[in-house]
Amino acid sequence: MSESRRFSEDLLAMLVAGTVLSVSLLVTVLESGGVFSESVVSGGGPSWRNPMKLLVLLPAAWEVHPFESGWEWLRGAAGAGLLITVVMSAVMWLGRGSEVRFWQPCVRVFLLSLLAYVLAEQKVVKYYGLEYALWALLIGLLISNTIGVSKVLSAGARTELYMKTGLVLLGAEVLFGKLLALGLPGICVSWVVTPVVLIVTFWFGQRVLRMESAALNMVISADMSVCGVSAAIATAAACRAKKEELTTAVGISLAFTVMMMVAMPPLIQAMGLGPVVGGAWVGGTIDSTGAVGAAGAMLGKEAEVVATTIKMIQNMLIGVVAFGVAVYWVTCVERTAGVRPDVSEIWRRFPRFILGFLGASVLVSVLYENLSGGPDFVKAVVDGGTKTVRSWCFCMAFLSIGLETNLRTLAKFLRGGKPLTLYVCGQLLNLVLSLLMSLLMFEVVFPGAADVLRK
Amino acid sequence: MRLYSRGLLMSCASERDLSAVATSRGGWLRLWVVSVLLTLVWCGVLPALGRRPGVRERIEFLEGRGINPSAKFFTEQEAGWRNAAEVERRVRANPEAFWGLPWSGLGVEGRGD
Repeated sequence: MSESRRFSEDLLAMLVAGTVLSVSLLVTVLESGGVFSESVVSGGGPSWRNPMKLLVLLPAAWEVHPFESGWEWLRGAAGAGLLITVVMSAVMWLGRGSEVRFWQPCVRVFLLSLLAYVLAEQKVVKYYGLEYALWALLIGLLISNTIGVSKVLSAGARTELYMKTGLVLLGAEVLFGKLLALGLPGICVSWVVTPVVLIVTFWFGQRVLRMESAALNMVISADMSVCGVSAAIATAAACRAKKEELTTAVGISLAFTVMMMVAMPPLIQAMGLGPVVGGAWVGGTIDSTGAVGAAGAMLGKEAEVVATTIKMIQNMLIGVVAFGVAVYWVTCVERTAGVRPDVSEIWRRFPRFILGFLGASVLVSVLYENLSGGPDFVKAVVDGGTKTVRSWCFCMAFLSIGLETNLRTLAKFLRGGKPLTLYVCGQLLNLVLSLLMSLLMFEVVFPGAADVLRK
Repeated sequence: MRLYSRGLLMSCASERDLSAVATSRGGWLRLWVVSVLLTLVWCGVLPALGRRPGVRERIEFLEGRGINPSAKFFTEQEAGWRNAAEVERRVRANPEAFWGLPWSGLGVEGRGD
């Protein structure tokens, strides 16, 4: 391999994400007067502020035109574009000396992602939970299947880099302490049902439906059982799924999310389920985190609180699922027939970015639990900087997928209807098991917990 | 064309196929037509839909609650942080209700035992 290929994509992604996370941590500490400032020592607790929150923004929600709430967000979006372009170009130059002009294609991809994000922020679109991933994919597909992709734009379509950078930054939002947020009932609804549904659905796809692609099977199983698009991204990267497979899984998930968000609240009311069981059922079954909040809110405040908490605990599963899938893939799926790979072989093939993801998660979880004012500090670091950059990275990743995908190739993955059948069967199992577990936990084993949540 | 060393997230034949997409007048025309349609939908149809009382009320209701229906992760909506903090506060105040199994001997609130 030439000198220009010194660093792997995983390492580049970890360097970019590590830089962004470090900057966000550092500026929050500096802006707020330092970890050991007088206010901390005296026990008052600091008021953590992250100056990045003013400089790095996402487009604002809009109803008639994108600038109705002012131009502030455009300045923030430009700041985000500048930060991403500078850090990525610098890391590319450091890791792959030949790609010194990466900033040019990177800016083009960012501008198209900006367009996708603006479309997604229209309030009616947002209300139906049609997130930026969909619009970024469609814009990319539109360009690649009409006028084609220029060489410069093609050089910026670095799906792997953007996606893995976003995933490592997502690690900073996975707080292990949140696993226990709802006590034993929360653990049983989120951490018992979800892996069972994931494993059974994957088994069903392989043994009963006999799906040609194990990776497509895994990505659909994970996005349906865990938490939609973010879980799909993490497992796709962990099992090296094809771009078209991720696109297929995300498309099915988004379509069913909208349907379930509208259909489940009236169904729960018709069945006479209480707000706690109803909320737990919504949280355990609807894929997308945002749609869970919207459906839960339709059932009342108690249901919203339970639904969003159950989904948050499921969110924490992403890292474990990605790690488990990566280990399973390198030890079982990709191994040579009849040969058990040794530890060095597993390490050689293991996707290293997952270690970055887990490292970021452990670091932020430790700060959350142990630092004075830890929860506020972490919220400032995440809300102010890493979450915004992570969202831009995912948007750029989906745009890149669209730019590199041919509609005819994509159609092949839906032929025969197996992905759809897999999703529907898996979701039915998820609906049944989640309902039974919610009833068991909140009506039989922990009725006191339901009483506390209803107060 | 860039090559993925280990096949991660690689495309099938799509990258080769795309190079064959002609940058023709037909392509530009299709792009222009779709762009005009998108502009009409986003700047005309969707705002009109958003002004309908039912939809407007729902949007305002969700905004008021701090819910972002298109959030990918709990950190993307204010309700996520807020609700988690509220539940954690209640769990800390009533540990026996959330951690005490009925057969463990710990009294479970609300069971009358």
